[in-house]
Amino acid sequence: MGNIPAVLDRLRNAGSAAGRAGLGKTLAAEFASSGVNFAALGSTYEQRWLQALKELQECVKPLGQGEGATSSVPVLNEGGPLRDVVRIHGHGQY
Amino acid sequence: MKAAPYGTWLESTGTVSTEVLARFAPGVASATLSLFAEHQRSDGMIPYKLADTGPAFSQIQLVSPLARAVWNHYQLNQPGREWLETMYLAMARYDDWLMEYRNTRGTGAVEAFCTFDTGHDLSPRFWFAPDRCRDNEATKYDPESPTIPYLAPDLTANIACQREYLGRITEELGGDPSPWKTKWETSIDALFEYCFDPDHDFFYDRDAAGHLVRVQSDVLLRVVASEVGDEELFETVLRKYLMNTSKFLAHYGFTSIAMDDPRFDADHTRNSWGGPVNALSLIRAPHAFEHRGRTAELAAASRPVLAAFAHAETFPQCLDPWSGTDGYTSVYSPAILWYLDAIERYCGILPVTGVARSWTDEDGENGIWFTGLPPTRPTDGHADAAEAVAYARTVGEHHFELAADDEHTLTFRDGVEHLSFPRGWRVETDRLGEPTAVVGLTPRPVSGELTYAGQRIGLTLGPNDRVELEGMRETSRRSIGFVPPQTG
Repeated sequence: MGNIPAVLDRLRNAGSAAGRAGLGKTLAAEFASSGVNFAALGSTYEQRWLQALKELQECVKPLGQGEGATSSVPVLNEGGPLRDVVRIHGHGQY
Repeated sequence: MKAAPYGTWLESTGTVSTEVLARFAPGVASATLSLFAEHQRSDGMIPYKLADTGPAFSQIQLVSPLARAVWNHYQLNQPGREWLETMYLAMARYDDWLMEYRNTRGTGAVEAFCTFDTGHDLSPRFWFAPDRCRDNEATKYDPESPTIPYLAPDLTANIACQREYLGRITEELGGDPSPWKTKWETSIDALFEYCFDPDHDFFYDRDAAGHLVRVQSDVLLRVVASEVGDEELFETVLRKYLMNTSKFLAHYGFTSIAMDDPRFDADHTRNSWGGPVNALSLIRAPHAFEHRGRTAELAAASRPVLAAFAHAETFPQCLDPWSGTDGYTSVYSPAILWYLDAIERYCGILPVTGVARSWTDEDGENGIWFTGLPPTRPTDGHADAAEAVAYARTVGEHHFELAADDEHTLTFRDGVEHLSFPRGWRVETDRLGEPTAVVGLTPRPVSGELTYAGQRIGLTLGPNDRVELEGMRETSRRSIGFVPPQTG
């Protein structure tokens, strides 16, 4: 049980995942409801987990704006860079 | 960091990725899945992509089945029967569309008209096939191509799996699933008749001239991730291909072309399915492995990748198979969600649906997996090992916590000690947290005790061993063995 009390203590006192990752309103509410959180002692696993949440936030957004929007509510986006070159190595069709 | 998300894709974002997301953000998952029904074309085609500019219909780009994502989300998060019915009607119409426009050879197999139909950019699978459908319209192909239409195993398997889950959904909505079973059988028969090579135990495209396109690609993983075949075929596939380091098992994930193929190109710095490990293969793999009870092989294959991800700076589409270095793209949601999934799958708390191995069997109840295989071993390379990890998740009325170090895993339910078990086990419970099974995840047997509610049971579990429990008593045991990495 060597490190278990310490890591539990870290988990319980870390604050919410949404707060730590700076999630926006929609994802913050969803993560609050799921109660998901993660902590690690040592290494970069926890830091990368929080980075994953931050980057997930960047991928959750509406599609388009205004009346003609494809989706006016936040949806999951594939992510990755928008390439403005004629595709040779692109992902399907942009 | 350059973040510019570019739409929601049916092959990935709108299916397998959203299925993972549904465990964390069910509202966003509902909205994402709904898009594909909302923007269905008047002729029944579902868009392969939705972007700021609207839906796109220039290719079909099917890989992971939409109906499975819909069903698992429905089971887990209960978005409502009305939502399910809307999705069902859209998917049933799309099935008709595919049979009208993607069965030109009358075989029952789903046809690929171009590279983008499977999203296989730069894959030698499609050398001398056009990238796009003719006139950028998914109902048309270029007759000047010497090879297409292909009878495509991954597309056909996708639709087979789609039909399997449409059967489940029909039944849930009070209908008769038997027409979907008949359609599923048609797909499976076509898949094995036209695309399976029994000499190689591999699935290939069959080109317009009737020849098999013998390029060994991640088509195989796509097919078995669509629940095609049985345990015997999957073990054969593991031995010959997926756990074979001369084929698809690189130290850092599953490659997109067999490594012993002279056309294999490991370049991970561009969008390529010509060799490098793709995050999409990683996020699709659990559907193949867990479905067949090959939890220990998946865990062994995933450990170095998890360590590499923990050390990386980005969440990329492509990884270097040799070093695990992150390559093409960043802020890529399949990679982000794979990492969230892997943490939950190996050292966290994962809510699951009770979908059975065969759709002819009765599905079970939803449950929870508590897994004690934390990344606490420096042998995984890359990142320094963690000393211990802890995870929290609310399921139903209860808040659960799991803490694990290199030897032991302890869980809590609403702050009270709940389960205790050794490293290397997964304890499956019902939604209230009562143990229903224990599974072995490590290549060597692990002996220890599971404790729950003042009761103890001593067990020795080899890799993939599964012990069913009732009232903390062993009721049955299944041992299917383990396929360690093969070398050719």
